[in-house]
Amino acid sequence: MEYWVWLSQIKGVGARSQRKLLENFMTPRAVYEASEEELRKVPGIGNVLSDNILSARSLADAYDVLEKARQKGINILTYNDSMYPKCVKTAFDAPAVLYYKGKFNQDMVGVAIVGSRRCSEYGKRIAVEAAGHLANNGVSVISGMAKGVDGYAHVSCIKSGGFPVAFLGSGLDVIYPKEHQPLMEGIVAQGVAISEYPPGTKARPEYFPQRNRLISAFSCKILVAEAGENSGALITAEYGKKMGREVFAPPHSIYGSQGKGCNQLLQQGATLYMAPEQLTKQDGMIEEHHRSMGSHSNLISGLGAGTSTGGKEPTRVLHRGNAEERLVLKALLESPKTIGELGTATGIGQIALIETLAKMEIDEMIERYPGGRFIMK
Amino acid sequence: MASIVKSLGIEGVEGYLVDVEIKTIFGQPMVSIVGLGDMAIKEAKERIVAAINDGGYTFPEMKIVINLAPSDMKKGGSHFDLPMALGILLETGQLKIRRRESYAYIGELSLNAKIRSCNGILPMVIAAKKAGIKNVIVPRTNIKEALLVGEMNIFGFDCIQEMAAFLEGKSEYEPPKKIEVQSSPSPHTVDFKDVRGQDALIAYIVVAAAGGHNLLMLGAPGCGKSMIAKRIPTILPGMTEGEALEVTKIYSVAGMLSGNNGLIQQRPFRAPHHNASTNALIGGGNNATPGEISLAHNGVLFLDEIAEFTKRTLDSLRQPMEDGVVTISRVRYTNSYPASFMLVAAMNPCPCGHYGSSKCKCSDYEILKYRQRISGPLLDRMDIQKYVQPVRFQELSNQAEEGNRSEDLRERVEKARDIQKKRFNGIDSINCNAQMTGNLIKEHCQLDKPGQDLLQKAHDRYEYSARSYHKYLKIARTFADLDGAKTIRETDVAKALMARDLEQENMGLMVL
Repeated sequence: MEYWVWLSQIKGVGARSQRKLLENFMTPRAVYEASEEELRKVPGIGNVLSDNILSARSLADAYDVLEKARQKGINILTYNDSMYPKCVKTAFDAPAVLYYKGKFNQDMVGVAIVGSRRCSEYGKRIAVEAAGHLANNGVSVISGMAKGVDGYAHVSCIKSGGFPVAFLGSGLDVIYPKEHQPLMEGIVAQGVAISEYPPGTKARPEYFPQRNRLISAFSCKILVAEAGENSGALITAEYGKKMGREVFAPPHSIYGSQGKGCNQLLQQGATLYMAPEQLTKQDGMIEEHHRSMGSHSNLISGLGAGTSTGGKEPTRVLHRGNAEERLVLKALLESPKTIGELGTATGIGQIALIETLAKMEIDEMIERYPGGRFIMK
Repeated sequence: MASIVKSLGIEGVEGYLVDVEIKTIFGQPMVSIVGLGDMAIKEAKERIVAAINDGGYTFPEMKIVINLAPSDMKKGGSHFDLPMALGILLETGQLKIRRRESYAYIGELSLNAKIRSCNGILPMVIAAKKAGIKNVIVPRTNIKEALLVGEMNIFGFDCIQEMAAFLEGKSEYEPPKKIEVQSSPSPHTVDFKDVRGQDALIAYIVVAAAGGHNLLMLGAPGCGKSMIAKRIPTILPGMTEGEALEVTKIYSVAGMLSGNNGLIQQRPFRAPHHNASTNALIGGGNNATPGEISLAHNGVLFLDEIAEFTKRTLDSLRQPMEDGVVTISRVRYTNSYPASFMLVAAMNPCPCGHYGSSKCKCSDYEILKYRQRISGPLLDRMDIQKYVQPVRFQELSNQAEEGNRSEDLRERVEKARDIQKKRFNGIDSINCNAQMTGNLIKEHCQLDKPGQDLLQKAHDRYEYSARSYHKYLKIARTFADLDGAKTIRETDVAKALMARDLEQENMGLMVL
C-alpha cells in the first residue's frame, strides 16, 4: 500500500505516467526498486521524470499519509483493486490511488447532478427533484459537494434515503465549503466521499476541474441542472462528452445569464432534460457496467419502477380533488402563487382558501414554494 | 425636636412614603443629607439655599441635617427639594402651618423659588392614598396627572410663597380652571381598511390579537410589514381602567407623560430601532429605568428587522415574555417593571430579502443561518409566522372595495377576549389562549371528530413535537373563539395549520 501512495505522490508523474510505469513494472514496489536505466527504458519516461522518481525514493511521506488516513478513518483504494470500477478505468487515465470515506460500493456508479454554486430556485428544484427520484430508484447521486446545486442534490438524496457519492477537490479531512460539515457527515454515513488527494490537502482552484473529471468518470449520465457561461459544471459536461456519457440539460430562459451554459450544452447536442424519469430510463450503459462488474444491483430492478411518470400533465391534474381544489390546481399549473394571487385567479375568498390549501398541503397535492407561495406537487 | 415633612419615593413603578426629617444644630454652617439619596438629592442643597433666599426667607447659618427615612432604601429624583426646603422653614420657625390636616409634598425647586414639575407623580399619589394621606401638594404643571387618583385633595402651586400663604392659612386654594380628568381616547389615525388584498393575513392578525399570540411577519423590503404593524393597536380591545393606570404609571416614572395628557387610554405601540441596546429594550441604566418592553406594557412591541437585533438583546426578551414582568438589577438599584406586551416582529425571509423571486440567489444554508439569528426559544414564542405579500398597485387604487374595518375587527377580538376571560377566570397569570399550559390545553381544547382527524393526519405527516402540536391547538382554539364555537372544528384546525409559514418553509430547506 505504501508503494501505491508513494507512486501517486511523485512530482510530475501523472495518471498517464503511472499507468505506463505499472504496465512495465507490474507493481509500484517494482517501480520503487527500479534502477535508472530500467526507468528510462519505459516509453514516455524521460530523464526529468526518472530523476524525479529516483530523488523521491523515500517512503517517509507515504507512511505519513497512511498514518493520517488511518487516524481520520480514510480508506485507500488502489488501481488494481477489484473494487475499482471498470468503467472508470476505461474512461480515462484513472488515478492510481483514491481516498474514500464511507462505503465504497461497486454499484455506486450512478447519475451525476452538477451545477452552479449560486443557483436560482429553478435550478434548485431540478436538482432536488432529480436527486430524490434517483434515490427512490436506488441510483446513487454523484456530485461535488460544492455550494448550490451540488449541495442540494446531495441533501435531497440523503433525505430520500439514497446513496450519495461526493467527489472533493481537497483531502477528505478538509471540508470546503466549511458550512457543509454536517452534509459531509451525512454523506459518509449514508454513502461515500471520494478524493484523489491525500488527507490534509487544501482545496485549490486547479483541483476542481480534476475533481470534475472523476465525477464524470463515475457517472453514466450527467445532469447539468443550471450553469452559467463559465460554470465549472460545463467542465464536467465536457469530460462527460469525451467519455461518452450522456449529458442532460434543462432549458433555461434565453434572457438571463443564469442558464446560459445549459442552453449552450443543448445547442451542442446535449439531451433535453424534461423529467427525472429520463435519468433512470433503461439503456445499455448502466446495465453493461453492472454486468461487467458481475454484480446484481438494485439499480437494474429499480429502473423499471422509475418509468412511471409524475402526474404533471394538465389533464391528469385537473381530475384530482373536489371542485375548489381543481380550481386551485388549475391556477397553480401556470406558476407558483401566493394565497392572494390564488384568490384572484380562482375567485375563491382568501379565508376559504386558507382551509382548502391546508387540506391540500396535507394531502400532498400542493407544497410550499419560497416566498409564501404554493406550487403543485 | 426635628421637623418632619411627608414626601414620597419611587421604587420601580410603585411609590412609598418617605419622612423628610430636618434638624438644625449649632455648629459650622453646612447641609448634610442622609438616607441613601442619589446625585439629584445631594445637589438639592444648592437649589434649596437659593430658593429659600429668593423666596424672601433666610437660610439658617447652622449645621443642618436632613434625613430621608426609611434610611435604608435608595432614593432618587429631584422631587424631594420642596419637602426639604419646607422642613428647613418649619425648623427655623420662619413658617407655621395653621392647617390641621396632614400633607405630603412633591416638587422640584428652581433657584428663584418656583416649583417645577417632576416624574412619577401618579404612583406617588397612589402611594399617598394607600398610606392614608388625603392631601398632596404637587407642582401645578403636574396637577392633572395627580388628579387621576380619585378621592384625593390635590393642591398645585407655582412657587414656594404661594404654597406658604396657603399653609399659613393666609389664602385659600384656588384650583385651576378647566381640568378634564377623563379625556376620551383620541381616535386612531390609521385603519385596517387601508390594507387591501390581504384578507388571509388579516385573519391571522386578528387571531394573534384575539388570543394574545405573538406575531412574526415575513416579507420582502417594502411590502407593508410596518404599515400592518402600526394598525395592530387599532384592533386590540380598549384598556380597562386598571390597565390604563398601570401604563400611565410606567410612563410617569419614565418621565414620558407630557403634562396635560392625563390618563393614557390608547394601548401603547413601541417600535425601537434594531440598533437599540439591551438596556434600552428591557430597561436599565444608572437608575434602572423602564425600557421599551415596559413602555409597551399592555400594548404592542414592534421589532422591525428583528434579525438585525443582536442575539443577546433578543434573548433578553425571553424571560419578560414568559413572566410579563422584568426585573432589572443594577449595583445601586433593583427594580421590577411590568412588561406584558404583544410582540409583533418583522423580518426579511433571507439575507437579500427577495426569497422566492428570481432576484434571490441566497443559498439554503445562508437563509437558514440568517433565520437562526433569532434563537429557537424566541421563535418558538411566535405562534403565528406569516408571509406578507407585496400590496399591488391595482389594489391600492381600487377605492370601490371596502376592506376590513378596524372597528369591526376589534369587535370580533373583544368578543373572543370575553370568552377567554370567562374561561380563565380565577386562574392566576393566564388571560388568553396563548398562555395556556399543557393541562389547560387538555381541558379547553376539545376537538370534534373531523378536526381531530385532520390534526392527526397533519401530525402523522410532519411528525410534530408535543410543543408544536400544542401550539396548533392553541391557535385553533382562538380561531374557534372568534366564531364563538365551543369545540374546535375542522376549519379551525386547518387554519391553524397554515399559521406557521416560517417553520413550514424551514422544513423544506435543503440543508442537513
